[in-house]
Amino acid sequence: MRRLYTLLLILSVGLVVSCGQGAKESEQTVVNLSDIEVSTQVGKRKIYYRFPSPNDLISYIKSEQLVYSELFLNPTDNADRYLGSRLQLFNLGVFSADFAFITVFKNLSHAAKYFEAVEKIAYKNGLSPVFNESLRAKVQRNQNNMDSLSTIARDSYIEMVNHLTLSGREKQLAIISAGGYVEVLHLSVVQIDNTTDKQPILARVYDQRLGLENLIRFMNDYTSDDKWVLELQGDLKDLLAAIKLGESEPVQATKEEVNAGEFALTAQVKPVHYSAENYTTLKTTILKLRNKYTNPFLQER
Amino acid sequence: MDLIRKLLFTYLVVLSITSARGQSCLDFHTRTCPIPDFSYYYDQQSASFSMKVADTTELRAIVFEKSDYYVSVCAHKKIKRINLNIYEDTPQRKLLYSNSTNAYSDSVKFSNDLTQQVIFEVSIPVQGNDKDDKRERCVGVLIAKRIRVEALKID
Repeated sequence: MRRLYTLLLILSVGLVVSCGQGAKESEQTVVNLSDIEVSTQVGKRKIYYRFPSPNDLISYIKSEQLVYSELFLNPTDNADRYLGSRLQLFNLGVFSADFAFITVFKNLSHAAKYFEAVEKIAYKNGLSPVFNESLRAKVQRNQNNMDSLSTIARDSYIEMVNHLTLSGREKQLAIISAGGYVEVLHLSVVQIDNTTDKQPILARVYDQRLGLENLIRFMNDYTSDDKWVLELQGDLKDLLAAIKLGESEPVQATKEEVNAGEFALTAQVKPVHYSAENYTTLKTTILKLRNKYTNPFLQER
Repeated sequence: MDLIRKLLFTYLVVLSITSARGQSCLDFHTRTCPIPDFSYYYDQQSASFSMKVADTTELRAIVFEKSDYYVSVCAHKKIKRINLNIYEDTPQRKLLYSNSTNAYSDSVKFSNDLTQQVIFEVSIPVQGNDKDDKRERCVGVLIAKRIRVEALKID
């Protein structure tokens, strides 16, 4: 009898917790700030933060100036050396970014082993429903078709995001995304020696501050009970501060109506300037951060 | 004892239905929102949430330069009208688009020249909906994009 009551109590707590998921802010007055009258109404306002995937980031940074070298990637041997689940998840993001980098550069010889690294870590962390036999077979069938592999990389990442969201594991998603951001920034700055070198790529590195800001805000929900995530968020804040050392004239887009239900946001993008000292700070921050979390001898505390 | 067993069973059924309903909203947009033509591809910043009449949800996302975007909204059939406003995510919060000027259309396309943070604000207005409907229902925002060829020539 007592066991039944205990069970009921646990279930009640579970029900309350599960109903609370996704609500980021409490009830407040919603004021419509637009010039266009919709209605001023009272209800809940919730805020969700989103940020691009590693595939999107790599596609964005990719240009003729960006080159491919396996030396830039995290060696796949490391995949077995990460002991804690958080460190594994961070490096799942790192390897996902590396795999996206490989597919964008159409390097077939490295694709399979990097997919295997992603799959291995994903499997260890309960993502086998995504990285399953059918996906593996699909990769094997298409291992000579880089366009298909690229689509598989994109789709499997989206599947993974959906799976983590649906199973209420958004903290894990935050850690994976952090790994993805750090690796994409590493793959970029490792190729830029000075501030006049490859300016367009540097400008796109500077743009990553926007997604990183959203990711840092997204992580806010998971830092209160997890020191590891809190420390990671602190490191990302340092990274953000380093990226923001770049200077650029503020640009506002101008809206042009194309027709009903279609518009254009036009803007003349301004160059980004980093002083030599600031660029050194940025590059050092990225390299140190990447080394801290991808170093195989680092163990989760 | 039998009564408690029955109560527990009912409780578990209700619990599973409630959680399933809440969770099922999370991929609502992939099942329900209008989709663009095949030149666009799915952006993982898309999302679904549960809302009721008078609620507002902000989806804060990033749009990349030299890209075209397609954004659509969708909701449970009981919700007749969804308001989509798109703002620049800046302190000034400049309004870029409101579907209230376009007969509450469920989709919009825009081309974008500036990488920036934007807010996709979705609300369920009292006007045009059943104000007595107090139930939380699924609402989705689908974001799709395509990169313009010029984006690949930044050198």
